[in-house]
Amino acid sequence: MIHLTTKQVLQFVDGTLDYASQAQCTNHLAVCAQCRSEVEFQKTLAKVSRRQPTVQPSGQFASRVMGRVFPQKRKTVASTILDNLGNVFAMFVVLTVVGYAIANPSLFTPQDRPAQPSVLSQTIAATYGKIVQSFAERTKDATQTVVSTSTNDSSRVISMTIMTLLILIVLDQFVLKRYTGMKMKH
Amino acid sequence: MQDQDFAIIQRVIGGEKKAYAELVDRHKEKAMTLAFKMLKNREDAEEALQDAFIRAFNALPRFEWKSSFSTWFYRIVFNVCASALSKRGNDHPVSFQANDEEETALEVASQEPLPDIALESSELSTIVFEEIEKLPEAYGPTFTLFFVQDMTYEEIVQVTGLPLGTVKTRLFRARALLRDAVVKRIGSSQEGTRQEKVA
Repeated sequence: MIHLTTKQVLQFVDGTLDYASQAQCTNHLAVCAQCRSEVEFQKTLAKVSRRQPTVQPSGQFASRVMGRVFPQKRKTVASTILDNLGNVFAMFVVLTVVGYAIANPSLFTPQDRPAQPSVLSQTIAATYGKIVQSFAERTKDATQTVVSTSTNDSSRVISMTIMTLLILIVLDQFVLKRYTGMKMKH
Repeated sequence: MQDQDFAIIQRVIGGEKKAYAELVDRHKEKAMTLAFKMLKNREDAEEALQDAFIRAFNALPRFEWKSSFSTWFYRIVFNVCASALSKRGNDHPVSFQANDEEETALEVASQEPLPDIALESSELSTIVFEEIEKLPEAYGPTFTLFFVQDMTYEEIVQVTGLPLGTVKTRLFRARALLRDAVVKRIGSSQEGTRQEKVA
C-alpha cells in the first residue's frame, strides 16, 4: 500500500487540497490506520502549536509607545507664562474689582433710594464682616478701614466679587478650555 | 477583529489620536511574539516593536485597507526586525530571503513510526513548545505567523514578501521537523520509563 506523503498529510490537515486530492486522501485514510494516526498526530501538533505561549511586552508598553508617538515638549518660561495667562488675568480682574470696591464704597450705593440687600447677601456680608472684624482686632492695622465700611456696602462688594469669580470660572471651564482643546486636535 | 480595528483606525484618523493606544493593546502581544521569534532577544524585540507601532501610526492615513490591518502591521514588524537583523551584521547571520529549498523530503511518507502517545497531555504540550523553539531560525517567522497569528499562506506571503511556494515549503518542513523531533522525544522518554520499570 502506498502511504500518504508528509506534504499530503499536512495539506489534508490544513484543508488546502483540491477536491480530487481531498477525496483520494479520504478514501485512503478509510483503509489505512497508519496514515490515519499520522493525520491525527499532525492535527494534535497543529492544535498544540496554536496554543504556544505568546511573548508579552513589558508593562506600560502602550503608554511608552504613545509617549514616543506624542513626545512631551519641554516647557519654556514663555510658554508657562502663556499657559497661565488666563489665571493671572482672572486674579488681576478679581483683585482690581475688590480693591476698587473697597476703596470706593459710595460707588455701589444707589443715590435715589436706600440699599435693600437680599437675605443671602446680608448673611454673606455679616459673616464676612465678622471675619474681617476679628482679623482687624488682632492686627489693628489698616484693615480698620474695611471694617468701617457699612454692611450694605460690604454685601455689594462680596456679591460683585462672587459674581465676577463665577463668570470667570464659566469662561475658563466652558469657553477657553473648549477652544484650546479644539485647537490641539487640529 | 477587523471591524474593531477599522473602528479604532477611523477614530484615530478622525482626530482622536489617543485611541491608537487601543490598537497597540490589541496587537502588541502577537506582534511581540513575531518580533521575539525573529530577533531572539527581548529588549531588541520590544524596541523593534515600538518602532513598528510608530511607523504604523505615521503611515495610518495612507493605509488603504487592501489587506487587514494586522497583515499590514505585521509586514511593518517583519521589515523592522529584518533591518535590525541586517544591522547586526555577521554575528547573527539569518536569512529570510527565498532560496531553492528542497521539497523532495516532503514527497515521501514519514518513515519513523508514531509512538504510543497520550494526546492532549500537558507533557506533550511542553515537548512541542520546547521543540518549536529549536526550529531553524528561517522557519520561525513563517511558523509563528501561521499558528500564532493564524494567517493563511497568502497573508504570510504579504507579510514576508516570500513567494507562495517558499512559504508553503518552509511551513511544511518546519512541521515535518517538529513532528520528527516530538516523536523522537516521546520515544526516548518512553524508552527511559520502560528501562526504569525493568530495573
